Amino acid sequence: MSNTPESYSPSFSMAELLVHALVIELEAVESYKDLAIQMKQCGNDEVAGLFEKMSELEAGHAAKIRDIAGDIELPELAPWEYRWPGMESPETVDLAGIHYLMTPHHALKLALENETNAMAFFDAIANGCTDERVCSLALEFANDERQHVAWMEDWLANYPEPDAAWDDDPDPPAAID
Amino acid sequence: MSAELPCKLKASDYKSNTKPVWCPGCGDYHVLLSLTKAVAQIGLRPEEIAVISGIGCSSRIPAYLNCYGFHGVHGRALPLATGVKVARPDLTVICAGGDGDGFSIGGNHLLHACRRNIDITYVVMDNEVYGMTKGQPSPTTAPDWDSKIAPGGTGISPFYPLVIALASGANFVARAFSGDPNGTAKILVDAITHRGFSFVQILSPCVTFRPDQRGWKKQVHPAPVTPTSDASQAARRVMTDDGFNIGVLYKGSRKPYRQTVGTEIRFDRNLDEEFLV
Amino acid sequence: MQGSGVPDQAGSKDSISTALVGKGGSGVVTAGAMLLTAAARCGRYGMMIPAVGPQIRGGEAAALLRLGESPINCLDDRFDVLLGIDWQHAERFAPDIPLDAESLIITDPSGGAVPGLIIESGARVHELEMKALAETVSGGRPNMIALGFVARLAAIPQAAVRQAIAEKLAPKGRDAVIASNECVLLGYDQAGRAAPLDEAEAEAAADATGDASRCRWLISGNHAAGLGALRGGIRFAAAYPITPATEVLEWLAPRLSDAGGTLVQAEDELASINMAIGASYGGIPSLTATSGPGLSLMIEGLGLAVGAEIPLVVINVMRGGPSTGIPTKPEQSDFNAAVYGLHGDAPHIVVAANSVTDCVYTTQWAVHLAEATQAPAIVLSDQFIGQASTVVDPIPAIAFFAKRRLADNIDENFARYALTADGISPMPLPGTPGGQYTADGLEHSVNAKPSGLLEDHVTQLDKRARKIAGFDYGQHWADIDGDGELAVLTWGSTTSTVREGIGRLSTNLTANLKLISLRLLLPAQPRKMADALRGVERLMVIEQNHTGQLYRFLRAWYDLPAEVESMHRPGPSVFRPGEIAAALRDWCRQ
Repeated sequence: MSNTPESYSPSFSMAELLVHALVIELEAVESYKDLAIQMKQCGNDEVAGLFEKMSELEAGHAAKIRDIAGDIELPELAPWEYRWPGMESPETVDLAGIHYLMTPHHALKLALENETNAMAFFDAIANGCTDERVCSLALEFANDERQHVAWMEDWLANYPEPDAAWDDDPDPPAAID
Repeated sequence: MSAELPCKLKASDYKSNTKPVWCPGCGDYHVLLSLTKAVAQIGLRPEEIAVISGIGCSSRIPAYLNCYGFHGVHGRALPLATGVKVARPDLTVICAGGDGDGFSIGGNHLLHACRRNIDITYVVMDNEVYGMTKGQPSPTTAPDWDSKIAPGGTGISPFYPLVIALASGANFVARAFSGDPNGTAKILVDAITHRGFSFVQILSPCVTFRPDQRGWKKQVHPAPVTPTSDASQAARRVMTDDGFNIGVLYKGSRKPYRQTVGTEIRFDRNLDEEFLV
Repeated sequence: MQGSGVPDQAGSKDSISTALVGKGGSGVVTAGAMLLTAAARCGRYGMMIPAVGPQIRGGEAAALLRLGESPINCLDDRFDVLLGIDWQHAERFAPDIPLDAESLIITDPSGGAVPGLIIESGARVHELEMKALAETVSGGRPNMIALGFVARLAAIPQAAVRQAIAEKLAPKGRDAVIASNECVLLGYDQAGRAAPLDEAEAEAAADATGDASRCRWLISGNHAAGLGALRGGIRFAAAYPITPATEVLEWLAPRLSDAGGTLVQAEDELASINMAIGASYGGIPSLTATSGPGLSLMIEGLGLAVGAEIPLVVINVMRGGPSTGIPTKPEQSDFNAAVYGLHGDAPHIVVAANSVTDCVYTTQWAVHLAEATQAPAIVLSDQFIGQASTVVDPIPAIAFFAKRRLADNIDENFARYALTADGISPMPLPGTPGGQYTADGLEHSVNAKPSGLLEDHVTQLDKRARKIAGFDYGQHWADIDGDGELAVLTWGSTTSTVREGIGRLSTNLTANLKLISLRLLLPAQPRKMADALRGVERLMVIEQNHTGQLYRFLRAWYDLPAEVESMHRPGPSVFRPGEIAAALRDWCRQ
């Protein structure tokens, strides 16, 4: 299941596809970086490291997309002008799923969800577009994401679901102000 | 705002390198993201923005931005922001805080800030709880929400901050959801660029004390109507909606508060003369 | 110090004290104001204290005046003249209007009987049918008859009174002016018959309109404080009205606006102090004015200004306390609140004006101090100084201006709260690129990041203390007169009364007597005080509050001579020079 509904079938130009693909990665870079900081602040170094790695991976993807874009002039859009399925990029994290005691299992599940959503997004574009070149690139992006999904699944396999008491903190929250 | 061309910074350039103290998963992280997206989109220079807050989790936000800020005392963010804006009309002043800071101890100042229609944007991160002090009911909490300080619930109805703002003369009223940073950014751009007092209530779930607010993501929906310029109509809508209508609800055209400190001397009084007998 | 050896109970021979009383609507305050203005026109000095009963309208009112050839800054021990247009509840004013056998009571038989309490003084009684006389003039009013009568008794020429009437009543139209002048003439005439002037007096009165070479100002302490603020560079004020400080703010409102500044009326004192802090953070010298109850509300804000290092001036016009207290009467009982009120270790500045004229300088100085030290400065005034219309010599402007140390050249090493030698660190104003910081009440590091570490707390506490304690306050910390082994120490409005009291002692006593009027209350100035008290063996501290607040403070912070006595008394009645003189005489002879 992804956050791209069946009905989503936009018609993108090449430049539009590229800018959407790029922004997915760039926002993911910042998002994972931010999550890494959140984890680090709570001493959850393992997951912090995971999120840092994700951020780096996404940065790599972004660089790849920039290369593909080459000299093509990408449109400058306001954050709400992107034609995502919803208001947000498919890889936008639901913060409600974040917990200071989250384990690598949870973090990878989150990353897997992101990649799944991104894959579904590009698949939808590939299916719905009319320009062959755009279709082809969208499919390429979708396949990249499929690969990422596979990697995430493998990675996740190393971290089975933790026991039920994973979020049990014997200490109460602190009031600092 | 500066008369120069908008500057071309990225949203992340508006973040300072101070790490937030917020719990991981706090909705305020996305409010911060929205704010940075908004000011980046407008093209404001970081040094021309002043973010003014009171006390509470949400009120920590000024330090997380690469702008001028003032983390004041509990409940007094609006007068502080008013002083800044009147003294420095050239700055873009954003006042921020939570529902406790803004609607309880700060409630009186909300009324008068709206009346004055001072040209600032007031962002309230509403999580229907006092988070910083570990989970007490706030003025927007449901009457039956159980807590240590009010077992079984307060039994007191929450009030409608948006309606109060409308009745008091706010010039722009909107509701947003932190889980929708792009949508919130759009509303914030609208709020900041709209002259006069702009009030944005951002539903921002508290991951630690209100885990039930996870469900908000499913409950929010775009408001089914366009913003109105009729305050009473807007008030009626807010009082009869499900509390999850997202969007700009009201846009008025009242003149913003006029008094500002300037360099222009209106009249060179010889003050001594009036005392001369 | 110059003594004169005047016996205590005689009061001053150099001044005349006149009181007018009547129920609300009788216009005694207006008449009193005109009398004062007329006196000023003649080159005389004087002051007028309005007094009111508890009603907003229609309640009894009194105008207490003292006029003289030399500057008047306090009331005398007694009144020479008490005129009652009527006597409604006038016994309430009896404590404020002491009379004796030498005094003259003027009463209108149609205005009721003179209260027994007032008759008991033994004063002579003269009947004057003010109401009936006024009725003989179309549009005439009894208070104008009264004005004429008392003006004549005070040897103020009619011409001066006419000028005052013209100014004050012009807005009411020509007829009002004419009617009033006619009444005044009738009053003069009556007084002439009652107490004919001798030749010398008549001549003096006739040409006393002259002396145009000596110009005078007519000003109240509240207006003077406003003037000092403007002169010092204040361009933003936040205002919440409170008796007896409202006049400061109302005076400032249009004048700030004309000067390019602004005054915002706030919804409460919590808003006003925070608005002033916000405006100051933005770079504009800012103030607010209040009285005791408002100061209490502002205490948290003052602490914020201390912690975040924001310049701020708060004028506190003291009234009877505690709590709602006595709003229309003076007292010096906010000393503790101003000095000790803030939670935490919160060094700040407290200064006190010691006369109406001094309100200008002390307020201006406070602006200068606040801006220079990036801290709050509280100016203590009181209802007596604040609302006394006083005739003074013109108050020249002095060169004390607001001068904040600003951060202009900001590099990556810039730290807002850097630990400098004098404790004052350059402040970047919003808008300055690269200087962005979040001002905070939270304790912080040099880089303005919130910090709970010992190192940061101690170094910042030291810094904030250092900048206040180490500042050069110069000679303004106190006014010191005379020298000797005996010293009298006081502050605020009590100063003038003490000075006049000392002036009545014999020369052999005053030759060995020093007067110290403290202007800088906080921070303590141990070295300066040590110099001032060198050779002093006995000290008397005089103040108007119930618990001797300054006296306790002095004991805590200063090395004092072996013998220290505290003369303290709460409001609502002010000290009188005669009682000070009597107390000092006893004390000197012990």
